[in-house]
Amino acid sequence: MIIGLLATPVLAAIMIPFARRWADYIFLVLATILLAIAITMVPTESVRMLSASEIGLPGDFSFRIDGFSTLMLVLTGFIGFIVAIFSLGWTREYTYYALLAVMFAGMNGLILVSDLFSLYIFLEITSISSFALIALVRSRDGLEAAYKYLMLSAVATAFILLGLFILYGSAGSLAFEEISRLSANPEHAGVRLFCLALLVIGLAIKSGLVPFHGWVPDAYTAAPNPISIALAGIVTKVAGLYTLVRVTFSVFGVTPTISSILMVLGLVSAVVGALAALTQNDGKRMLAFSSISQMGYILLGLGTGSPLGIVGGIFHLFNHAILKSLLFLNTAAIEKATGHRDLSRMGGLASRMPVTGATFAIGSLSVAGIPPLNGFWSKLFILIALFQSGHPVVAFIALITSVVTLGYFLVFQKKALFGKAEARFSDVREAPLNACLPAVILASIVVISGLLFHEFIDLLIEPAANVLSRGSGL
Amino acid sequence: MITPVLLLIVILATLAIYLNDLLLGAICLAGVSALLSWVIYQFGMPYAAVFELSVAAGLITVLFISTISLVKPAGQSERELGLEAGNPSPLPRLFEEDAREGKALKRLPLVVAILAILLWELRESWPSIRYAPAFDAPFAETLWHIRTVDLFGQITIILCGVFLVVHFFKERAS
Repeated sequence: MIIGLLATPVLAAIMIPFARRWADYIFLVLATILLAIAITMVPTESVRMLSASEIGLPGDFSFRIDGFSTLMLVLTGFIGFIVAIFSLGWTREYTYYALLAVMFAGMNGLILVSDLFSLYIFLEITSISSFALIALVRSRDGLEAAYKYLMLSAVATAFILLGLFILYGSAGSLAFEEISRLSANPEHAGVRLFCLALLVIGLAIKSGLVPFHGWVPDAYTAAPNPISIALAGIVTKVAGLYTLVRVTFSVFGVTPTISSILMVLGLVSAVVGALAALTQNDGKRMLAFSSISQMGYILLGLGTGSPLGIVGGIFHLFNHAILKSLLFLNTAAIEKATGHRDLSRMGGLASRMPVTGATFAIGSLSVAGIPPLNGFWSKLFILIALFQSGHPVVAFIALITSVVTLGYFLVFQKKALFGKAEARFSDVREAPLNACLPAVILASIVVISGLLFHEFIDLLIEPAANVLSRGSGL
Repeated sequence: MITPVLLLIVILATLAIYLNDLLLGAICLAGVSALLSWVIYQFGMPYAAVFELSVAAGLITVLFISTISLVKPAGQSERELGLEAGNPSPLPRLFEEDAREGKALKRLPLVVAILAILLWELRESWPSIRYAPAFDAPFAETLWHIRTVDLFGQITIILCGVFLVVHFFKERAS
């Protein structure tokens, strides 16, 4: 099963150039297989280490399966499935599908590996395929965004590699357990903190957290629409946030210093992202800044280190992956219908595009934390955890930021979707099935996981939160 | 053995910076990466050595050479950028003059000499640096048997590079 998560996308990438006419369908089948394999792993209560010999492979390595990795595998498979459906009507370019398959192989590898060097390699696979996909259309904006992402990612890589070199020199291994043992030894506290700082900076760049977010608005805006969905929906979650959380919680262990670093990064990202989103007139750019802001909320929850905060953070990570995929999908549909993304030149589109308008309203209200949608519960958990852990001021700022979030989404809806329908949009029709179907699926998940949040948390979120609450090591 | 190799790395790296021919520069850089991977292996870090060899010396060189071959002839690019004689940009002209007069290459021996002196001065530090391989396993054993998952990752990275190059070459041809 585990080998399927890595080998199937690579085999698909090799197969696609030989069956170019079927590239889109091959990727759809691949995404379905990856999602099915990930679902079979749910629920995962214990931590399992699968050595190479156990899965019939040569070598001295092992894969790690726990509640957190299972959740991320399910999310990756699901967003891959959504991207595959949306891409059916978008392009038949075979290199696009081959690169997408490589990117999903990279993300699955990143989630499964149990040593920092392999983690670095899969991180690079994910990043390199992302640059390639952003630059694929070869527009001036796309190339500029890919170049910016490439340069900042190279800086991130330098920080991560330097951290790994020093860790390897200190611990003699890069396996998660060995680093955990090093962390437990007070003699190595200085080395540990220095290496962790290097890794956190590198991974914060990959996550697009403030003040390392320079590449995010350009990359999300200039990327082809399905790639924007993948980037905002899952790539930055896996390549940045998952790796950051895995390294801090499961490898180094959360100390008060690490907790404070995560909370500062989270708070600054939440506030700056929301304020910047408020001033945008380009729909995708607004969503990009909103994405930075919501990543900040996730870190705020996790930074508390309390069980409720971790549940809130993980739940918000899940919600944000679903919500941003939905909102970018809606924006793509609007862009295709109107030919641009300028909010000031839109209006009344909801009457012409009822499915897009309704699903966008559900998604944006959930991001803003309106009950009973899923975003409300995750934000509520985060705010309560902040109060309980003795950070009432941070909780108050987070609450105000949530109001700002509601503000910019209302502005988006007022300018683009509601109000008087303009005559020049009389020819605008609802988005095609390949855009409407994934939007309806995603919006349904937003509503269902909000109404049945308790069951949902029991099934997917709590096993993941338990892994992080247990701290470093196994 | 390691000092001459380090000196060769410095010479190749300096050449990569100073050569006006980008293609030769990329090849020099590949040479630097290949030699560096040998040095890293000697320092007892076979994983990093394998990665350096396959990605930096292999994939990155392919990407550099592909990019260079995609670039339009200099004259055409300059016209498009409005950098003809009537509208010169001081920075390109500076390098252009340097290149025409061969000043860049004339400075090369001086740079190499300075770096050689620095290396010679640092020779006393070498014994304190451990460069015996920390692993008993030979290179091939490390590559094929111990780090199989990384090898899989590297093949995937190379695959990604190939698709990108194919895509851009195809667009260029069309």
